Amino acid sequence: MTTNPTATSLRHQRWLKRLGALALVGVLLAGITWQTRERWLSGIAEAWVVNDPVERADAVMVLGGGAQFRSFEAVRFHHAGLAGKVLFPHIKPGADEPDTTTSRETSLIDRVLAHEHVPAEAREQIGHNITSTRDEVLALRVWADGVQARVILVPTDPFHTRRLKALIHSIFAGSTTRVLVTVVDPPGYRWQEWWRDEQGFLSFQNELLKSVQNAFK
Amino acid sequence: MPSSDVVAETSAASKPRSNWRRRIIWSLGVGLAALLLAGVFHRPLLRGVARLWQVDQTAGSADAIVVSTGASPEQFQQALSWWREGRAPRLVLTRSETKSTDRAGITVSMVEQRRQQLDAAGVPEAARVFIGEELRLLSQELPVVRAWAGSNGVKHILVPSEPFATRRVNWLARRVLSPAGIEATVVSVATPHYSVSEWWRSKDGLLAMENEWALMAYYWWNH
Repeated sequence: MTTNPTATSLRHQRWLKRLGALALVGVLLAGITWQTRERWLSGIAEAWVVNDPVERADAVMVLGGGAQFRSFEAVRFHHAGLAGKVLFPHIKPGADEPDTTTSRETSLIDRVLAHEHVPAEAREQIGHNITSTRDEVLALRVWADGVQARVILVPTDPFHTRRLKALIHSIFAGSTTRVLVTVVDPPGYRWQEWWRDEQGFLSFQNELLKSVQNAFK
Repeated sequence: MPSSDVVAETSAASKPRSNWRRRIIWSLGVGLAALLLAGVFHRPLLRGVARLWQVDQTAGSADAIVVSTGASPEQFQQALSWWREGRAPRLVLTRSETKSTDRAGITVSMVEQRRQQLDAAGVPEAARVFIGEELRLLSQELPVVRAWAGSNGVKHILVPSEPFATRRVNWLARRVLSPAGIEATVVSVATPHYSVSEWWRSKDGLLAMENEWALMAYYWWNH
């Protein structure tokens, strides 16, 4: 038995019309997306970044890997009277630092703090042989519980703030300490215009991937 | 009882449906087989990806060796070795950006560190050239190299590079330097952070490969 040729061609025509309409909508959407790209790319960054309002705290924590910018922000908070203590992690020395118990990064943060006139009694190393942000937040929780801290400030680079806030949320569950995550502007580019600079682009996509990876852990 | 016309119509309608079912089953089967094969042969496949991605050229002789002051110690040492072997008469160092701790006088800048290393290695002043200022990205470095090479009659340079970055460096060098008649030979220099033949086994290797894919896409789009 053969199918009715008129019915088949009608069906084809209907499909072609639908495809044409879809293609038109697609082209229109692509055009609008392209024209407004600066607005939504910047909007994505604004939505991604967590920037808690700064308030007077018991301490400010300098996370590892940020001696070049996070430590200077911590110094600024300390000198502004916003944080009495400046905490920094004891990072595990790398494979290229076999004859030392203190990593280059840990001693560099300490040197920055000393150079910027943060007194020795206000500087405190926390944790031991830290290898990740998770270890750092765990060490921070131990310190906070020990001194019954009320508020702690943690300045970090913009795209890292979301993952850090989520980590703090889970590790500080049940604690009375409030940990405020604040943004430090990265050197070399404006994070609100991350797509204009390859470092900004790289930082953002790395954080997106790490967040996806964490979601499946 | 259904009439013979109704039976014929039903069988005609069910024929395309069973065709589709067969196609879906076949596609699923082929997909599963491909996944299985990829799982079994993942090592040679991933090794092949690394081999294909790298653009490792052989270091011959050139007019100059170009390396960033902020390059890894391995790349800097490689550049020094080439100079000692006499592959090029000049070592050109592009000045990388100054860090906050350098500006505060807490650390010594990479430019100064490299100058001291060159002194210790016995590289005479006449054989070394520092060019550019505060260069942060490859796309900032290459135009500076082009300008210097153009005014110094340099036609062929040797560039040491991190293994997975070779493709990007080579690609941008061709776009920026080749129109000025400058040929760049980009040579892969091993890094202690990961092994190229087993890059997927370490976090650093995975990150390096993924970052290079992303950066290459970014370069294609922007340059």
